[in-house]
Amino acid sequence: MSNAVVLEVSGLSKRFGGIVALNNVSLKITKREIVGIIGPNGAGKTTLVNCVTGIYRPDSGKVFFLGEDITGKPPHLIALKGVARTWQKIRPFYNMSVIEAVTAGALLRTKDVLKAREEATEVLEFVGFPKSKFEMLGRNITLIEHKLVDLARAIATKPKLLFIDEVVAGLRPHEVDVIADVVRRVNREMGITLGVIEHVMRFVMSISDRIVVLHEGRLLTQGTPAEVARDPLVVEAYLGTKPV
Amino acid sequence: MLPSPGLIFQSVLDGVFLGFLYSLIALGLSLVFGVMGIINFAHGDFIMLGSYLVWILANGLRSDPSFMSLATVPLFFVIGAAIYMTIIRPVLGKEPLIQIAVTVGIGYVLQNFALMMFRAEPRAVQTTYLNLYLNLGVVSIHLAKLISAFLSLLIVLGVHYLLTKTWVGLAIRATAYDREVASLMGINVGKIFLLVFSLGIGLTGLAASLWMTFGQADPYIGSSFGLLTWVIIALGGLGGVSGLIASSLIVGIIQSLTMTLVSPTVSLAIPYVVFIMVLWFRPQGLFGKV
Amino acid sequence: MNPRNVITVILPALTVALIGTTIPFLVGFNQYYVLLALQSVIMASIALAWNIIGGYAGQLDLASFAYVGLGGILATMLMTEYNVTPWLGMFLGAGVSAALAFTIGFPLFRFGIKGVWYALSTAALVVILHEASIMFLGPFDYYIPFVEGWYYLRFRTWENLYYFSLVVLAFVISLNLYISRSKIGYYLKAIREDEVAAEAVGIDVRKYKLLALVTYASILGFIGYLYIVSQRTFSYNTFSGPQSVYVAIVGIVGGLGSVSGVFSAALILKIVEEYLRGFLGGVLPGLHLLLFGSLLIIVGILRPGGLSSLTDALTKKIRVRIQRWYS
Ligand SMILES: Nc1ncnc2c1ncn2[C@@H]1O[C@H](COP(=O)(O)OP(=O)(O)OP(=O)(O)O)[C@@H](O)[C@H]1O
Ligand SMILES: [Mg+2]
Repeated sequence: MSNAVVLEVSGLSKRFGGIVALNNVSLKITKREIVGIIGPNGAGKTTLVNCVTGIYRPDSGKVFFLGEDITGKPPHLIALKGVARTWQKIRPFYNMSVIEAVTAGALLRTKDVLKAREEATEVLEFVGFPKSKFEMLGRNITLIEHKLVDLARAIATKPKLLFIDEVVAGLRPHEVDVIADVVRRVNREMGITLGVIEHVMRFVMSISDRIVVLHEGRLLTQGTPAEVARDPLVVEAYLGTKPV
Repeated sequence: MLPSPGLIFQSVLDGVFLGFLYSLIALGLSLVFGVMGIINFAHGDFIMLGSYLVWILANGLRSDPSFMSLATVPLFFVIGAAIYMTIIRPVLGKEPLIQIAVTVGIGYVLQNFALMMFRAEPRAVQTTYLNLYLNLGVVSIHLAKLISAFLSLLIVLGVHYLLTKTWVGLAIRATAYDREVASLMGINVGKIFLLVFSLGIGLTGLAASLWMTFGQADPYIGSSFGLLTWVIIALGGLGGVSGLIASSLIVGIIQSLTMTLVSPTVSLAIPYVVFIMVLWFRPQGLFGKV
Repeated sequence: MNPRNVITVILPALTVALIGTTIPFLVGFNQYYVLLALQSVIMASIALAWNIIGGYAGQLDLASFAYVGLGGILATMLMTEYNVTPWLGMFLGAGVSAALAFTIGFPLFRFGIKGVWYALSTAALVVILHEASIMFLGPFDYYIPFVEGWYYLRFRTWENLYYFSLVVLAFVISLNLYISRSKIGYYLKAIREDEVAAEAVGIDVRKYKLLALVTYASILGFIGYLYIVSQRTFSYNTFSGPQSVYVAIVGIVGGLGSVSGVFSAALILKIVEEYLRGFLGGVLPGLHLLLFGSLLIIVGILRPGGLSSLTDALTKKIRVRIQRWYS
């Protein structure tokens, strides 16, 4: 069953006033895949994640998770079914300790706080968060630490599918390598299917099995990293919008 | 006993006059909320404070309360600036609960300050030139209310003009729309906040002197003005100035009608019942965009 | 819950209650001081109930005295009019307050009302009840006719009611501690920090907020009778906006979500209030409230940690000691 479809999005559209953020986007993600989702700023990548995870209700189109229609379901139910995500713009729990924040995620699958805390500890160790800072308040940690906590918080909900929205944006090169390694291990060792949104090409090209390119709300093309990198449409989309 | 049409007409008219004054009060509050996202629970208490000031000044100078706005508006503008610098600016980035709580604290301080200084009895100004009634047969028009309604409308439209037609207004609206973009455009967001907050409080000084031409000062009018204004903003849905005036008039008329037809107690409660219903069924307000 | 958790939940509450029982002896049964202790204990219980919706769930609720008044007046009038024992009346009061909270909260949370609009709705609720109760009660102060005995929970002296209130306080403290150590507490805090992020990790925000609101309201509805008896009177003014704000002040100055902080704040503010009233009450009524308002502003500006920054360090030390001793 390694080719089982985990997520199927068909004809998804979302507009904000005059802006068409998503325009009839269809795609599939299969089990244990790492799918890179790229595209210039404003291409609709985050909106896609928001529509899948129930933060936004799409204007039209359908979202199927493991064959079940989850379109327009509330976010907490979608999380319960097994879709998690991280946030491009961090949404930290400032007045909770790191371990408490991740425990809140782990409590989705258990009522037992002690058990959830143990799981949270494991997940934090897994993503390489420094053990000495587990008890620190969210307000007192650094940006990369926030990103790790955000990732751990999402993983702690034991998702089958995880969207990682620009986790390395704003980080230094050596930090990017550390995170790339973590992301790979989340996929290989935990068996979680991943949708990875990223602007840092070196990162996304190296970890993805497949790349999906969005541009102005449309699905421009998809393929292996090598195919996509050679695709003239992609080059044009990036050159056309990004001031070099 | 059925109330006569004249009574109802009179009551609606009084409600309209009151409504225009409400729109002046609501304007300052909605500016501060719309531009800064700051939720000022103490807004009404500044009117209360202003009313006492007007009471003291007008009685001392034996003059009409409306003239006292020449003193209260600049004074409150400065007080607004001082409060912005010392209290509001430090909590700008903090969680909403703390922001609201701090302004609740300001209101609480003002209210108890008034209680301490003036006790709970209501106070009214002795001398007012406007305490005249124009008798028009069916209805009689209280000159003070008419003039304060007229001046309120004038100022509301003036501020609207300022917002829509001048460079400062453009800067204010840009800041309200998106702080970051505004500061990229070279707008000094900190200065805009200072200006808007001071203006909001300055307008309460004006509202206070208009209110005292026919109303009374007591330590608790602040809470009722404050809550009422929020009700108006909820109904108006933070839309344009027309939504604001419309919902002010609605609240004024509802209040005045229930006062005449049912009882003063009911008239105090009814706007809040409407408010909660609106929040339940139309959270974007009656005149807000969906 | 495992045994160690039971201990950390129950033990602090028992300790407070036990220390509390010594107070009447320490003050030589001086009724002024016992009444003061009673009123402090009641205010601490109310503020700790507020801590559930305000401190943990982060909703600035300004309606505490809507629920205190509703539950309290119901239980009191059932007693004076129909001779119903407050033992039953207080539970009815809790039920009615909970029902009111549910009726208000269900649609509000359903439509995502939060922040300022939540605070305003709750402030409006107090005004509505205040005005509505004038219609039912008239503009009078009601004094409870003197009846005595455990059946009425009313006594010639204040000690028994004080002991009873200590039990209630111990319950509210345990409930707070239980919540903070259970799934509910983690979820409420996550909601307080960021509702959207909370939903995305699977938290049913509406359900948990409603749970917090109803729990808070039912505790207040229960306490209402004790509050009214300790004030000796009730009227439409029991539905008090300023008092409801006072409760929020105690909760915030104490430190959002901190049991020891809120408890200490309730006691300290009460003592300061009495002290100032004794000194300046005749000259400057409301001075203490003015000071408390300023305190709220200062805590808000400096740090939202409040008193808890002090008390938490202390209670942590004690807890570590006890845990070491236990294991
Ligand atoms: N809540 C919203 N309200 C209005 N417009 C929005 C909203 N969210 C997204 N948009 C608009 O939709 C378009 C797509 O935004 P989206 O955030 O999905 O892009 P993105 O591909 O994630 O871009 P980036 O790489 O910058 O993160 C943009 O034009 C954006 O301004
Ligand atoms: Mg994005």
